[in-house]
Amino acid sequence: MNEPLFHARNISQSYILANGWRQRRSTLQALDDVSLALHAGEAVGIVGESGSGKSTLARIIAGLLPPTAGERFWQGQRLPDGPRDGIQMVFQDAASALNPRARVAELIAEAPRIHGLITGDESDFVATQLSRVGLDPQLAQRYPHQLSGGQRARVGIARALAVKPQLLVCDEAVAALDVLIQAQILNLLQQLRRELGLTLLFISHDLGVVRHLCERVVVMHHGRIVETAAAGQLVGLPQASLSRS
Amino acid sequence: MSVLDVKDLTIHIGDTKSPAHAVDSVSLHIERGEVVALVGESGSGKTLTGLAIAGLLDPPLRRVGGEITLLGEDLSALPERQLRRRRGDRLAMVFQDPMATLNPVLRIETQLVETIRAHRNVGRSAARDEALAMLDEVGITFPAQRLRAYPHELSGGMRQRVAIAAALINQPALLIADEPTTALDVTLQAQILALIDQYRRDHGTAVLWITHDLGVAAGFADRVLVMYAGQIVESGPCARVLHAPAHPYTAALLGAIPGSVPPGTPLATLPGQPPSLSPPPEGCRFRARCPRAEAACIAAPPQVAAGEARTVRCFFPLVTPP
Repeated sequence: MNEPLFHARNISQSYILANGWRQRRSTLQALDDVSLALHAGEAVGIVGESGSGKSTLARIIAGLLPPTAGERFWQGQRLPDGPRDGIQMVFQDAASALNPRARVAELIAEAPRIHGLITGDESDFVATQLSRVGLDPQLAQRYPHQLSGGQRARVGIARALAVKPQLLVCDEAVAALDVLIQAQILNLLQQLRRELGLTLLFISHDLGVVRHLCERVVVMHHGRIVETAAAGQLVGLPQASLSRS
Repeated sequence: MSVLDVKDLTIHIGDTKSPAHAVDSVSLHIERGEVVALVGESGSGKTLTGLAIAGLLDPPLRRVGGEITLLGEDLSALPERQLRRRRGDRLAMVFQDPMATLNPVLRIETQLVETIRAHRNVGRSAARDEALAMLDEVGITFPAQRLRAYPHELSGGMRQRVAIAAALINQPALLIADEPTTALDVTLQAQILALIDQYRRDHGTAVLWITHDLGVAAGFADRVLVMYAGQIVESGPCARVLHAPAHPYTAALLGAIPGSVPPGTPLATLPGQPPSLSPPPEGCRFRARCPRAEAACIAAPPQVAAGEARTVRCFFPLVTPP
């Protein structure tokens, strides 16, 4: 097999739980020696209960959280700590992920301008990005609170894609949406994958969504990867039977 | 006699000149021990219907019409003082966020004992024993220690169990549950569903389960009511409605669930968004998004029978009455 696009090796993360004055400090092992390779163009799902470490892993992969131990590799090169424009993240709650005091145009154009992808007028760039996620370019002058939940989710995706990432990390990106809007966003992610050749890491507690979108599924439990399987083969899991009931 | 009987419930939001018609002539009934799921998108009016039944509408929300009968008593005619005595006793409500129910600065014990003694003449220590037994019944481990805890010391799942314990502690005839499992992960969600299912079997509680998740409704409810833009567009036994929906909107909701199509293929979606309700559109409210809409849909479709114990509000239903 050829070189993976992204490789996380032996990632561990512990959080210190301060119990209060003169109490013994205890640590929570959020991630315990987790390794994960993502190949270009692949869609991989991470499922697990609350507290299984899936969001911590997502934040470490996106470079938003330096791990206690372990390394990240991009096309075989070791990555320093910190975010990079090749890896972008889409969050669950677009309402809190988007700056409420910035217009849609500013939200989308800020990072690309810093990375030198826009010089001069930004309106054409913003219009292109909005059309790509199926939004009317007229919305560029709105503030996040003037958008519907589905529109905000699309802006969250447009913002992430504006710096031309190759890997998109979606942390429960559709969990808060009604089923019809969820279906629209899932279709959009499929379409963007095809058009842009995106690699997708999709974190969700909903096995149905993951099975629909991803070819490979990683199951996490208590900070470890306990199973990796092709998406179609996960039906026998205890969690699958719970989510069906 | 039904536990709950709602007739033509109508709720307006905002000023009297151009109010939003948020809930329009909703009628429903729930029998003893029955679970009825009220399903719809955000803004469909399902939460307002639940709040109105509990008498919890505050301005700018106004109930402008309809009768709400609980155990033969017309709640809509009761003054607020009387209504307060019913809430938490004959009818109780559980919300999506347990902190909407729990007081953050009181111990669990204080809150449960207060709930009991507000409605029944029970001594403090007897009430404490009841609270302990109730925590045990809703599956809380070490109930004696949890009684001494404050809400912030409990996990999200445990808080929701305490909120449910507070709702059930006076053995209500009707439990209104507004998305109480939406914020929980699948394992906890299944546990909470099993808990409430067991309780209503043991005590004959009628349950109105408000949700946007058809999957939850499918595994749990006896009957399902589908709401769109303030109206009930379809109702019937859960298995039959979800297996063969009559209203195009129900069909659209089912088609949008991942798993309804082979992985990787596009999910069925609807164009556009739900209509503005101030004022509501003329005729069928689903018309603008409906794949089956025809010229006749300019007129408002009546609610008609669609098979045994089923109704649909559509001129061109997908299931024709036998």
